[in-house]
Amino acid sequence: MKFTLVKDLRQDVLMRPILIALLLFFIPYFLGDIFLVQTQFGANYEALYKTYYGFEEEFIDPLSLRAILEYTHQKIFFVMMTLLSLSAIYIRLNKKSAFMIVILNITLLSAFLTQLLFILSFYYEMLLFYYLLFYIWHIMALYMTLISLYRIFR
Amino acid sequence: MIYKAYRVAIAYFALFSLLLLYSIVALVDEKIGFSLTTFTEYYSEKSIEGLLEVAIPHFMAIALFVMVLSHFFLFTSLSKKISKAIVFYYLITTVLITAVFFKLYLLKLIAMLIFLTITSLFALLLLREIFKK
Repeated sequence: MKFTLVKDLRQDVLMRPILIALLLFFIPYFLGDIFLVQTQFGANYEALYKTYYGFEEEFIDPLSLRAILEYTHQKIFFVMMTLLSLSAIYIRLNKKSAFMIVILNITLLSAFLTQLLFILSFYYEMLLFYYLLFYIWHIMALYMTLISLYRIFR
Repeated sequence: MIYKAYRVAIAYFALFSLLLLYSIVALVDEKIGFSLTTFTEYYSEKSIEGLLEVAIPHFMAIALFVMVLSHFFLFTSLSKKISKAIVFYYLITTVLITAVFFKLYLLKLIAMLIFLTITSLFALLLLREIFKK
């Protein structure tokens, strides 16, 4: 986390390309994750619902708790590491303001709730909230990435 | 005093850590069960290749996770106390991952319980310290 100590990141010969590369890697991760989940579970809410809870008429079995937990276990780790790195870069590069805190809270809270709700949907009907929060945190994370890239290049 | 926005990021990381712990407990409970009999039954059926497939990514993931969680204590007043626990924490993590290769299932079960306890304590302590004035 050396970049939290370097005074002007835009002038630092080493940190600048490192952060640019990291942010550029984040973009396909967030975009690709949306397409990956759409491929795995369905492109819309109805398809997601059928995949998750099963649909007898189309001979789709519901997801088992084991499959849900294995999937979420990996997701939680990758999401927490990615968002921690992104948050640190975003905070470092942007003006300190209430707006920044709001953006951070929306992104991190929606990402956290997405993972939690995917598990809880096994017990309660909360898949719609999962579906909405999934897109919210991806869009917010993409915003944080793009705005950080803009700040580095400016 | 760390800047407020960093506190937000670290607090959510601590929350994510607790959620990760919940997923570990639920997954182990669902797949294996928290008893020596079920541990022995589950792992004795696994081939070396099967064990390696799971253990190797966990080596990287757990090491990274423990490092990131522990290093946040640098921003708190507990850094000296935590530094003594870190060596033990990494030792337990090593035992946790490698015990199955030596068929030490009881040791793995104990290491898992200790790992879960230490991690949850660290995450809760971090949440408390991060919001101290």
